[in-house]
Amino acid sequence: MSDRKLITGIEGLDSILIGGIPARTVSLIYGPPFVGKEHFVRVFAIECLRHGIPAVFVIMDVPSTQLREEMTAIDKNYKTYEKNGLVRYVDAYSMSIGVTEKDKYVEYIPSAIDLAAINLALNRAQQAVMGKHTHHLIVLDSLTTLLANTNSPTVFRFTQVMKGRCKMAGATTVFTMGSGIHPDSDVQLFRGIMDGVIEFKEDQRDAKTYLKVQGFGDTRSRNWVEYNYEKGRLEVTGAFDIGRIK
Amino acid sequence: MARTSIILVDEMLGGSVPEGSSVLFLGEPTVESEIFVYQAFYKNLEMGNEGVLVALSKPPQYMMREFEEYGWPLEEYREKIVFVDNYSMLIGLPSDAEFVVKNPNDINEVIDAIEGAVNSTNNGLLGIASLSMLIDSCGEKKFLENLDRLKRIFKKTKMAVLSFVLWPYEEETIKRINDLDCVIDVKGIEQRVVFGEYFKVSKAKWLDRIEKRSVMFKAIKPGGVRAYIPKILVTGPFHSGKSTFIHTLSTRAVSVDRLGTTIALDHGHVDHAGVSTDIFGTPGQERFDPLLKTLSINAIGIVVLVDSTRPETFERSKEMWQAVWKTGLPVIFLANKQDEPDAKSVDEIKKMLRLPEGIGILPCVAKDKQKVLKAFEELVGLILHKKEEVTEDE
Repeated sequence: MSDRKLITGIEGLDSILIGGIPARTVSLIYGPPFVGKEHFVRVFAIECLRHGIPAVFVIMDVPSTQLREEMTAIDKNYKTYEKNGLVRYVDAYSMSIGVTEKDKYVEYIPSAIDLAAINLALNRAQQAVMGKHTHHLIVLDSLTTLLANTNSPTVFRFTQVMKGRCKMAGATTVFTMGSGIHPDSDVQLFRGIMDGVIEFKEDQRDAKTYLKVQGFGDTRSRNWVEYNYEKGRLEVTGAFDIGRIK
Repeated sequence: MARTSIILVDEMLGGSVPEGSSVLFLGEPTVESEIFVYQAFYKNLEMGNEGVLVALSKPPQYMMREFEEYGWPLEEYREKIVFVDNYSMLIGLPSDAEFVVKNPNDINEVIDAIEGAVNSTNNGLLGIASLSMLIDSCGEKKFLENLDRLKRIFKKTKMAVLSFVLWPYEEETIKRINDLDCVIDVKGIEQRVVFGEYFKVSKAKWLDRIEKRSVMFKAIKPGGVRAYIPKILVTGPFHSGKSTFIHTLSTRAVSVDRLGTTIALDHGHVDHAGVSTDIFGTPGQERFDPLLKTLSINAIGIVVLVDSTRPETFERSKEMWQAVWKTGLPVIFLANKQDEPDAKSVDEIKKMLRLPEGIGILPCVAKDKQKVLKAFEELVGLILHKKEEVTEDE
């Protein structure tokens, strides 16, 4: 990892991004369901952890126990990263489905509409992992669930505050959002406050999947580039222009 | 009259709150402000009052669990509580609350339920944590249109204790919310992340003057809001009883000793009488003197131990005090070992030390918890009542 860029772990994508996602940026990972965008985020997080960069997951769609299993399936050392104090969770899902067990790495929030509680829990989780690390990763999965539970002005205010705080704290922050669900005006609102967007899509005609990068400063391509997502592996398969695009 | 029963809040509000007043804890998004509502509500139940508790972001049973985590079992006062459940219907949960809002995004329905609940109690408290959730669920415009109606409901209560999270709302919203009877700002001390929190009264309509004092606090489970004093320094000559004092006072403490004396810093943590603090003890031997100034950095109170049985060390006590003290920093001298037969009296020691005006000396036996706690309370009183400035209220 360079001091300025965090490798995503997706080879072709790191070439497009000329080294990775810039550190201390705020990104939106946007796309329809089942195209691999959550997998991308997990692979990115694992790559950060492998390089000693702590990660905080703010989750509202799956319980933290399930996320742990999915991460362990990608990297069998995942639980070691937890034991070494590199991972924390803010879990705004488990309590809503009646889970009562507590986990020492998890801050539990009763509901995804309590954005103040999420914010406070995130602060505590950051304090727990940051230590002497100059960088850390925050993943919020997903804005779609927050929007479904509240409304766009509320979530926008929350995202604005979170963005400012996370940058100040030295975090690289990744938000996920589902496409085809929200009004275009809402999508543009959130895209407008991000430093960059990685968008995924599936072409209905040929069932091929594509991604494109917007923002993030210099990149090799702003075009849709084909990728393959199967058997738990995501790789860029399409060609992209050689040459930097600013 | 009503009281929040939260340490220092009532004092800063003139001892009590006129009935029908709204007390708003206006918190930055990164700090705990809900806890103030919870604590005031529970303490009022303990005092025999009834109350209405509005559940906006979680079901009432979850709120009860949160109260329980702070050591406040609401179940014991269940018959005195009227719940307004503005959450369960949002996610299709059944609710046995006394008032259930069927459509939580309809502000009229929400306010009708709150008003109905208030009318059903007999001069009870109203707790809403947090009021900003009404904006988040119903919209800023609707909230502002109905704020005056809410204020009329607040007036019908013994006291309305509210929290509000200061997200980046419109200027008009912030201005109108600051127009409640009493506003207490709750803010964070931030460097990369929030590592400290404090509150201060910015408005209380019934007071002519507001004390401009900021109080650091921690929200502890169990326990609730505690005034937090980040660092008290304990100093004094070799063998004056510093380590014993710290260990007697602290709920947990650690020392590094060798051959019967401290060779590093004593550290203890105290949680007593609504105050939480960390205590640090300096080594007493002269070879550690170069460290004294460094150790005193960020201390906001000093305890100086004097060995009452050894007058030849009295000057050393004074010397160590002068090495760590800054003008205005609260300090208390303790004449330790007062239980020993050859101990000089407090008056004798005071004369021999020739302390400046305003610096007190108390008798102490470092092994005696009661005496040690009394000394601690005395110093805490000096620290917490140290005023920054007093200005006229607008």
